[in-house]
Amino acid sequence: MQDQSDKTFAADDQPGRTRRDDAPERFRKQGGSVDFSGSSGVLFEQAMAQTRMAICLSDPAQPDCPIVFVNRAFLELTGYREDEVLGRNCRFLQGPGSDRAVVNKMREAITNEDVVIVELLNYRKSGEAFWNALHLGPIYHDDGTLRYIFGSQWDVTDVHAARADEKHARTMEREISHRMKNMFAVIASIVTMTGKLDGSEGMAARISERIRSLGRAHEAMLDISFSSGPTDPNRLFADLLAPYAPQGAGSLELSGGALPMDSNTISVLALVLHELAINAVKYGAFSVPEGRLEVSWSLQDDPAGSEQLLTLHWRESNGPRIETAPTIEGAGTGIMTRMLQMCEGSIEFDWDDSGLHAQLLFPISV
Amino acid sequence: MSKLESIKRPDERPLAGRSVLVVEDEILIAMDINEHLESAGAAVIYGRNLSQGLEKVEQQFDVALLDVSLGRSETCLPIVERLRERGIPFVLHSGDLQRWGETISNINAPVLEKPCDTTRIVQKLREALDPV
Repeated sequence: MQDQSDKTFAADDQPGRTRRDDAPERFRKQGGSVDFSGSSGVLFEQAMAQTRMAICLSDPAQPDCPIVFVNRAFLELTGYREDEVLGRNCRFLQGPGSDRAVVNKMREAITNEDVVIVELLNYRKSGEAFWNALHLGPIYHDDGTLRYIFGSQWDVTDVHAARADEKHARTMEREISHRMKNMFAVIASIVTMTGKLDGSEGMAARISERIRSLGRAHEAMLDISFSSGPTDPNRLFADLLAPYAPQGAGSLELSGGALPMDSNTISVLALVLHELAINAVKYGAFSVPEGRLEVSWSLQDDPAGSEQLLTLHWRESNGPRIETAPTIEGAGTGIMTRMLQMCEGSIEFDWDDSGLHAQLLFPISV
Repeated sequence: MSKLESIKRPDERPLAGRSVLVVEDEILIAMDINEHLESAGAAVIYGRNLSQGLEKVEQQFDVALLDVSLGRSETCLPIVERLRERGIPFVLHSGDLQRWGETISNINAPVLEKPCDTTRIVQKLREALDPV
């Protein structure tokens, strides 16, 4: 917005100084047709002369509601001279790209003496199109009868361009999200199919499950920009764990603050939580309908500086009674522990009557 | 060695007796690469981010494999500088050639595009160690 006003005044005869706009004064001195008198007239004059917003008044009492006043900002915005504007209906600003529905909305508002704010593609004298934020409204006599239609205009072409970019970015985001989901699904299917053909369906199923978990995790974080700071991981954890929980999200209790996320952190968290969830389905709280899981997390500053240490507690309860200390075995633990070793993290397991407790520690970059 | 020959006479441990610095911030990818390098006979020194990479670049090794993009806005460039100073050959590994294209071509080193077969990585590291 600032740019526009700078542009307007940069074109001035005396840069850095605003030229005096004498249009309001001339308009008031026409007398007769004009009802701004006394102090309100002076106020009108000063306000109109100072504002950088393009303003016009139209007279609904005359045939075709012609413009009877415009300030200098209006002329600068549209590129016309005053004598080319006065006496004409302001529809001359419209052109082939002007939306008829918006024009009808304006016409309706004028008829009903409503205030309306619309955005319409208008055209300067040069033929150049610009997006005009139009505000129209009635101005009344002391006795309440309609005197003028007030119109203010502001060039919002830049805003429109920014919005179009944003819209495009959102479309692309959805597209990428769709393709990514599809890709994970295709990969999982290839693994399953290959497993079937090779007679190793069990292994293929375990690989596919891990891939699907990774896919879910990355999908949950897709609309989040990693550069915009810490992110609430609640949705990530819920999306990862709910499919395994006996009563979906209802079996889960998640608590903790925002975490700095990147794709590496997401992958590590997704695979660890997946292995723990699978274990809970087989032996723990997720194997019975009333089983519950509490996941809580927090961050500690790492003395090294560029990283923070994530502590995540996994507490199962209401699960089946565990007689002997169970061991999480097989490829699941292997992946978890090796992965955590690589990033100088750790996982510890503990059991009591209520079920499995696991404590995960790993550094995440900030 | 032509491609055909390498297929005809597969070298079981092409990196035997060599040590490799790997700097890679995706843990799962690093796990895969490091295991393959080790089974090819190499001793692996691993850095999982820029600051660890800069620390470990001072150790003794024969060749390096560097992920170009290391976390948010960091690249492997500071490590490249040290490798040049020390005269140690290296191979770049990048999943985003479009984004880092200019950075990569300025470095002027062999490049592998992710995702990349681990046998290709071993082969490229060998080429960097023994230029023809």
